Amino acid sequence: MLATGTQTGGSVIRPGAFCGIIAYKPSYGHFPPAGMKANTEWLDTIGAYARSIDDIALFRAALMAIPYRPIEKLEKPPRIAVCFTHHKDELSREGTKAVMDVATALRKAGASVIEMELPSPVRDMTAGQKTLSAFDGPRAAADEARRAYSLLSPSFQVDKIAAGRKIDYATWAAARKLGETGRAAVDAMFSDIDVILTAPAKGEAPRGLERTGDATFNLLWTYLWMPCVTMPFAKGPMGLPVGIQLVGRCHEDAALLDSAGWVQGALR
Amino acid sequence: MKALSASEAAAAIEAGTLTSEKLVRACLDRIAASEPMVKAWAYLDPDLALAQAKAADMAKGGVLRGIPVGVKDIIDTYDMPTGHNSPIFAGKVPFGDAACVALCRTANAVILGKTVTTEFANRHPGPTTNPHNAAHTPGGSSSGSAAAVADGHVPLAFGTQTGGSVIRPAAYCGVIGYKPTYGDFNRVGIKMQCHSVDTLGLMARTLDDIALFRAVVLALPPVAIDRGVTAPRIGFCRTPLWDDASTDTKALLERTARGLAARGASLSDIAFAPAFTDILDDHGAITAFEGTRNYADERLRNPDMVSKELMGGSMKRGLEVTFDEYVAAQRKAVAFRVHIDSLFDRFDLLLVPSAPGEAPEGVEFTGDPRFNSIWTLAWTPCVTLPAGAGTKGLPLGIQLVGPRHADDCLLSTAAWVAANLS
Repeated sequence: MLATGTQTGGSVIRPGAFCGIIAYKPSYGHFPPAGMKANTEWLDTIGAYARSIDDIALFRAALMAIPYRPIEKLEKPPRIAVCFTHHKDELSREGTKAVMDVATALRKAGASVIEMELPSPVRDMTAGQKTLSAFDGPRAAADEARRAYSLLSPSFQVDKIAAGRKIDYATWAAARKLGETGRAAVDAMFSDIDVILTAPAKGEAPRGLERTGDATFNLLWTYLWMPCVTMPFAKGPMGLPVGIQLVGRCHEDAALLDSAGWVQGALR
Repeated sequence: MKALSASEAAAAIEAGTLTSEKLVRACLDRIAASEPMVKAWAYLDPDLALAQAKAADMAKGGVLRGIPVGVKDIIDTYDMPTGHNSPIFAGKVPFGDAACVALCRTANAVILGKTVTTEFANRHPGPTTNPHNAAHTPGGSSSGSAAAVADGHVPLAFGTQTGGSVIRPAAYCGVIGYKPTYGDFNRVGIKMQCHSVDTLGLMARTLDDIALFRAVVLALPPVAIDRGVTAPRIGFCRTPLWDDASTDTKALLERTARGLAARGASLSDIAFAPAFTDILDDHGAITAFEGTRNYADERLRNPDMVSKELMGGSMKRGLEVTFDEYVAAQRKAVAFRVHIDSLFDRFDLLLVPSAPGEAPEGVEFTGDPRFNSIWTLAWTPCVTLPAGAGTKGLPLGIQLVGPRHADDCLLSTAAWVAANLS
């Protein structure tokens, strides 16, 4: 029916894509974070899962304590920019095909669909996101590290706690400033476009339960604080869901959900 | 024993001329003598404090080697209740320590106890009085921390600032208050009020102590105050709210500006661009919108246990701020930060008021945070330094604002200012 998740790297959108459902990561700071255990303060965002975009709009209104406004039918198609990010080469064939097939279908439905690169500061944000996430590790988990270290998993001990201890203030501060630069640069793109069409994950859910997949196609949007929606589209070679992701302008979540509704309609 | 600074005490403990146990006993004696009047502590268990002190002496070392710290009672401690000055939380012991508390313990500090807060760090006051004059408020919401440091109960204490709740009470109580660059200090375990501006801050009696304490909370090596900095370029920023300052405050700021210029600082007046004249309104919209939502559990499940002041005040106001107004305020805040950043091309620091005036009379009203909220929204680091007294004999402070992400520099230039205040 309805469920909440949280995203620091890709943890709302990617599992949504892997499981073939609709998932929504709002603009950073929109859902009140009180009571959420913090992972990385600069990134953590509560997100939502539902069976339809209409349900997402309803859930969003409740979680934000704002008046509910159902998805609106758009008068004209949104201006769409296909953006694979600078990690394009890491996208699976089925992931790329899903985005391109959707782009074709949306063009047929009357949307202007262009291809766009993100501004250059964003290239450094991949490393920046890892800096932010690592730095908070030993600090956010200072109590656990002090009183219950042996109860932390080895990966948490290494990837969060130990990694975070190696980062100096200047590197961390630079990563935060980079977020501001990146956000301003990407925001400026929205004078010419309404929504970004991209991949929600590298491809299908990986085999095995040891790893939950890669946040490569999520972490930039998380760091850019932009709202994201994933919806299912096709199946991959293992028969597992392959979806697409729509990313909107920061703070313009209602418009993103309206665009997502239009896209869904165009894909039927 | 004279109330030692944390740095003095740490040096003495390292040298073996003092123990944490002796220091903590002296603090507890001090508290026992003055607490009936000052009422700074929401929770204090002397046996627990002494047990920690003995353990700290056994463990030896650590950046805060056995130094006692006061913790504002909206910050979690695994071995003491976090009461939030609310009947909803009375006596409730949290699951774990806040990050800042855990990092203090990791540095071998003693968590002495929980200092009085206003209800949920808002306006409804606690019982604390100003140590300089018990007929006056110590300010808030970090009331107990400011009073405890001012009255020699502890050398270090945590506060938090959403509006003006570190800088203002520190100024009212005549101690040093420091609000860092937003985001520098991890907020895990601090009750979330307004996620876009809540900032953990520090209080102490010396800048060396602030520098030491800062290092512990950052979990990074201490950076000593640089006493060799040259005279700074100071921007005297009266702010659009200047007319809300008392005669005392205006005179103090003007006198300070002239005095620092005479000592070699380059001094110019600076004002915000006209677009930001009403920036306080944007702070208000953001804090109200976010606060009422972060407190949804309290106001929905236990409305009768939330003060009428708070329920009828910012909780209600927050539901009247529309989402579009909130977004507009957030975008304005981003523009404001860019604007303030640009001022630091010409200046090393800004000289601004810490508070409208002396601590108001009575304990019902904790004072007006307007001279602080703008900087809380700006995300810039701020320090208030004690700078004499007003006409009622209560402390006045001056506030120094520095560029973001250069807090070490701010502390060093603040030391220059402190050394050159007549």
